[in-house]
Amino acid sequence: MIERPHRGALISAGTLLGAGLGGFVDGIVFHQILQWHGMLSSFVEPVDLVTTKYNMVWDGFFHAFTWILTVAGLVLLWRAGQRSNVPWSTRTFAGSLALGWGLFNLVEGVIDHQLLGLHHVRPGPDELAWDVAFLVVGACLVAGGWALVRAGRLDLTARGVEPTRPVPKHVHEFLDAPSSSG
Amino acid sequence: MRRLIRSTVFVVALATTLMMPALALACPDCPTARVVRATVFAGPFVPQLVLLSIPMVALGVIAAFLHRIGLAERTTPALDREPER
Repeated sequence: MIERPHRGALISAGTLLGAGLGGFVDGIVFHQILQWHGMLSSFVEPVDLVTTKYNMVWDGFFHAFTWILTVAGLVLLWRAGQRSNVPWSTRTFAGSLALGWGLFNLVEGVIDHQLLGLHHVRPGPDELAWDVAFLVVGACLVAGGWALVRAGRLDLTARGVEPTRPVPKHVHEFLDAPSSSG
Repeated sequence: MRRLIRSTVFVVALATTLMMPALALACPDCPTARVVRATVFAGPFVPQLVLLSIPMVALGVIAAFLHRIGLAERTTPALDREPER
């Protein structure tokens, strides 16, 4: 008996982990290393020590939420690894990571940057261009991740099983054909 | 061995020197920290926290949706067949 594969378990785990890691990249690169913006820098511009520390506190809350996403992804990944009907596909997982990172850029970009206006990627005369670039990178990651996840549909081997080459379609048809011997 | 110890001492001393200003600024209860804390918690703290959590909640909902439905499976007749009893 072949159990129906449940790929959603691995996809959701990868998506949450990708979103969490994408959030950490945002926080580490844009907030801390480059210091282009803080979490609420459109409301309280970081111009002195107090306002910088104020934004730093809210960056901390942002990182805390991102950490929760990452832990949720890890829990789902662990649970997916314990199930026998979850195909353990590198393509599906890598695609889901990219999908999650891209979704983070899109969701955070649309909600925080455009709708709520909490901050912009690089405030200044070209802030719209930087915001759009952030969204475009997110869309590219979603498209690439989606393509990888779709390619991973051919991988049907569960975790702990020696990986085999995908079964070609004509072999499936041959196996499903009614037996002539009765 | 002696060279290794000297190098280690040098690196530790250099790191300590570089970190001193940061340590001096990271004051848990100096006047600046008290002002920052008061500003954060005296303002609209909860609404801002809710605003901050919206994208994360949205991502969680998307992940739950993906967990529930996955993505469309390629048709595999062998998998669609009813199991033998």
